[in-house]
Amino acid sequence: MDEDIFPPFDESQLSPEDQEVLRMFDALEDIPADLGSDETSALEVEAGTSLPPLREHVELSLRSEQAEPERDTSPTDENLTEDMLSIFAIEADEDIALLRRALRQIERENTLDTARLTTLQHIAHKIKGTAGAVGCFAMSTIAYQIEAIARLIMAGTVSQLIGLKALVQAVLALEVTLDGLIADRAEHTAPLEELQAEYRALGIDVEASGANPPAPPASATIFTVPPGKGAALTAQRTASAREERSPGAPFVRVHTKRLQQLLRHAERMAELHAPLEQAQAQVELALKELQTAQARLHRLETIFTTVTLTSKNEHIRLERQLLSEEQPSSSLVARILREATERTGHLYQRRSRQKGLPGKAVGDPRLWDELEIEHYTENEVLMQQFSEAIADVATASSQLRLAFSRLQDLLQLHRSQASNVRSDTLLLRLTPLNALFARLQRAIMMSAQAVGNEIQFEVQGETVEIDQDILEELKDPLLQLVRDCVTGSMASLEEDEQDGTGSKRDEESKEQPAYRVWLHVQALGHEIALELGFSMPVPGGALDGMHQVIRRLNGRIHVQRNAAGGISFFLRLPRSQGTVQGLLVRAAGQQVVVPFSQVQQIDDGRGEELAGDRRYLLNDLLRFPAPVRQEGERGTPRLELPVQPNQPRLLVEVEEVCGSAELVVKPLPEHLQRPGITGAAIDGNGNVLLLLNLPELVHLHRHHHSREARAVMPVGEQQRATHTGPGQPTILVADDSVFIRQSLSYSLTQLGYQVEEAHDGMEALEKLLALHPAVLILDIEMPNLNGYDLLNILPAYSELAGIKILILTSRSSEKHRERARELGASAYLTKPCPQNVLEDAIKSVLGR
Amino acid sequence: MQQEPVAISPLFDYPPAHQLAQLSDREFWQLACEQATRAGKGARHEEYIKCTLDSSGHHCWLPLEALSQAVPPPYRLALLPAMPLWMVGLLAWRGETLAAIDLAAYLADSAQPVSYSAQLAQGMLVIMSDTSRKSHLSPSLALIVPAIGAAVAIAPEQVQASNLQEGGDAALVSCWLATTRAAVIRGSYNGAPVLDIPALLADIVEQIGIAALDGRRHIPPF
Repeated sequence: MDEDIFPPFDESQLSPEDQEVLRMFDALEDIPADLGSDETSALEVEAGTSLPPLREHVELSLRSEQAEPERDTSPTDENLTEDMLSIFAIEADEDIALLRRALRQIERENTLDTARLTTLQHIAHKIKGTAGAVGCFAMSTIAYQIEAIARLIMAGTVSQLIGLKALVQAVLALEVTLDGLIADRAEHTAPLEELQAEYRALGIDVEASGANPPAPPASATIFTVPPGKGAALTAQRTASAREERSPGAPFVRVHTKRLQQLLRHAERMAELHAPLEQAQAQVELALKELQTAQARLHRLETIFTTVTLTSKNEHIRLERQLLSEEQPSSSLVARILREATERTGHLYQRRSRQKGLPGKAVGDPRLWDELEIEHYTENEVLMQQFSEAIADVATASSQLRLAFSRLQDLLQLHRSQASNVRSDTLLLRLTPLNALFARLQRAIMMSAQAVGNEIQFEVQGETVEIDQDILEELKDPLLQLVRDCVTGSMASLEEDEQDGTGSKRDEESKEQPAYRVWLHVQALGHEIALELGFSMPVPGGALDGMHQVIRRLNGRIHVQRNAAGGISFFLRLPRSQGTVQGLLVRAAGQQVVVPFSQVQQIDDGRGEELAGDRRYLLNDLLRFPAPVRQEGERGTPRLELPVQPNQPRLLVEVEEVCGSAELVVKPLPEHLQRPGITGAAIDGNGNVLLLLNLPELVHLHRHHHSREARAVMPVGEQQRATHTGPGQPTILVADDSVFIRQSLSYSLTQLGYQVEEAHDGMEALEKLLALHPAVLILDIEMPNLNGYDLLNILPAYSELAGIKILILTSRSSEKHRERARELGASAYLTKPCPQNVLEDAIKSVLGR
Repeated sequence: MQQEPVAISPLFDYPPAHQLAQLSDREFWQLACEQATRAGKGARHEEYIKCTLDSSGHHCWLPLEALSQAVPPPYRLALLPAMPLWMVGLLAWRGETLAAIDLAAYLADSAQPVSYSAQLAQGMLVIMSDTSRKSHLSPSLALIVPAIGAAVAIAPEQVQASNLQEGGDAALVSCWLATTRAAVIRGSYNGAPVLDIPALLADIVEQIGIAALDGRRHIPPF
């Protein structure tokens, strides 16, 4: 998506105001240099022609800056200056965001796209002009330098790599300067000075570009702001502005200590190479010795077989010879011996006749004497050699075992070091969340000031760390969410106050910021949990940009009313990208992965059953073949999913819990993507492991089988599930219009339905969870979660899957119909809707 | 350096040297052009591999150029929810996840779900990629076939046009090749279909994507 966010520059894409600013500053640059000595008069000459309102602001600003030392600042001027600061800061913030995005685009491309550099130049040009106009000389200079470096890169004077590095630093300096300006109401020149040192280090001569440098400032002091307004923000900056930046995806900001730790572990790992090679050589040597000993044994075996046969024949021959030579004196003895020989095949001799062979103990090395070899028979020598060969094999085996054991130990050590290096690498990518807090703080302040209000921003968990890429991806949608919520809610509250419908704040309470926004962050193992809370109602549609990002990051979001009466958004996100810590479970004989965050508890299936438990088979959720169960088998492992308090337990039965693993997960190619499957990992054996989104799978399953599920549910639960009496399904009408709610309520009651009402998205969600109506009639435009927000959030609540959603809105375009359909709405009606059409639609979605 | 012996292509039918000497310049160049044209045609031979599809001897031809790798068994497949009937599962190949397809079942547009039988497990995995397009536009696929044969050079003119779409081509239309697959058949050679890989990959990818809709929430039309 990002690739298309920032196409080559087309000025027609800019707002008319921005185009006017560009034209105006182009004109300013064209003013002859000799008029520069009296800029005010030059501008006044220009002002004589038809100037746009913004031009007049510029003129006023310059005049007021020059006049300031000579006169007191009147309240009117102060307000004007403050307004201008707000407008400038908001615009500059947006422009800097554009600059960073443009830089990211350039960095991602292999070849240099000059159109993108031109875009960068145009944005910088605009900042240069506006910053110069409001007297922010440092910002104007930095912007000018960005413009100049882009020109140098295009001209080939500066290499792309060096130039991009300089541009990243320049944008960083621009942001830091803006931060300082907002926080302290004074422009700091330190970032500019540091940047210029950076240019020198990179060997860049900005002046070589031939660009027009910005005009010198009219005065050094920039803004003086009334103390009350300056103190509007009560949140404390916890880190210097420079530390708050992450310069973009290709560059990772690294903590020195962590880098040192990584280097230390990497060195230890490298040190293991020599011992490993040595151990491997020892194993090989021992293996060779074993092979030699085995070969010797094998040779002896062959000799032994041959000798045994020969000696047996020879032995018999000798025995016979002996017998013939020494016949027993008694014929009876001779007959007995002969018969025994015939019967057993062995020659028998009378004990007294046995001739002693050399009485050496064969096989006993202590008794074996090489010098007496001539006294030994061939068999004895052979046996001795056998003994030696067997001893050699035993020794070689033992040596091999030792060498192998040593190798194993070293490999274990190597694995451990490799694991350390991997952890260090992941840690290296982590950055404290305070980088995000500073941006949020600024966005809140700007948005509140733009509508003339004050908001207190509280932060907890600044030190919690998150992967820089995740932070980068999260930052923009979160900022947008905050801006939308603050601006929308402030405007809405102002309208209410003007209408007299809102609660009036007394003068005393107005001294303190009445509204609060808080961000509480907590590290939960490999995840972080964020609560972004607003003490006031928020406008609908604020979550528009957030859902896709959360999904892409394998995170979750849910919404809840908070104790202050406003809305809190709860986000759960992994701390590091790419790797997922999860449970390996078996379904249809194959392993799949369930992220730890989706499992509250695991039991062996022998735990207590509770009334109202909802149980699912993982194979059913995935529509895989059912597991083959042995007769009498029980105790299938179950995963308990986290649910809202007071909700029935959700249990998913699996064939086996195989263990846990940390896996690198990639998204599946588009054609292989399936609902409830977040991505896939490949394990060390080459198996594809699907990463599951269990709540979504349960939701989908319930949605598919809501009727069947109701049919098999106990009657009591069935009625509770849809909150229906016989023939009286409950319908929840969620619409911010009292008239619509009351008229629908009347009509539907007349038709025999029980009707409940919700005046905004949040109340609708609460009533859905409490009442489980059969049908939700949902408006799109609503405060506190609009219709789309609600549709986006509902899949996280698997218990609500069976509810049919009917959109009733004044939006009639196909685009909205399509979006509602994709988000799971069952029907779409446009206002005004005839009663019979509504009745038919309700009957249709209820299957009546 | 020793020079390699040069094989004379039988396609070059040179007249005897004395005849060449008698040709006028114009005639000589005309002959040269003719020979060059013939040589060019000869060079356009494409190599195909023969893929056996079933025990009845049905087979098809796949262009060798699109073959990335042939993987013998054993290989490991994983199930994916909402697969088309002819898809066998997912396969890890070079760090990517590919769809594994029973080619015979796909070509027959089988109405019976493929079960990962022992016979299929013994088959060859043929990894095909559309080399004519950028890789990200056309993902690779793994086709499972019982066996593959040697590569054969086939001249384009030897591939007979197929009128399968009109229900013709009796040689191809039998109980195993569905007319619905006409778009992925480039023609036939020796009575067996020659597959058009870009069309085949595009169709399979589309069909797998459509099957995913079955896995989404069933939403009646508004």
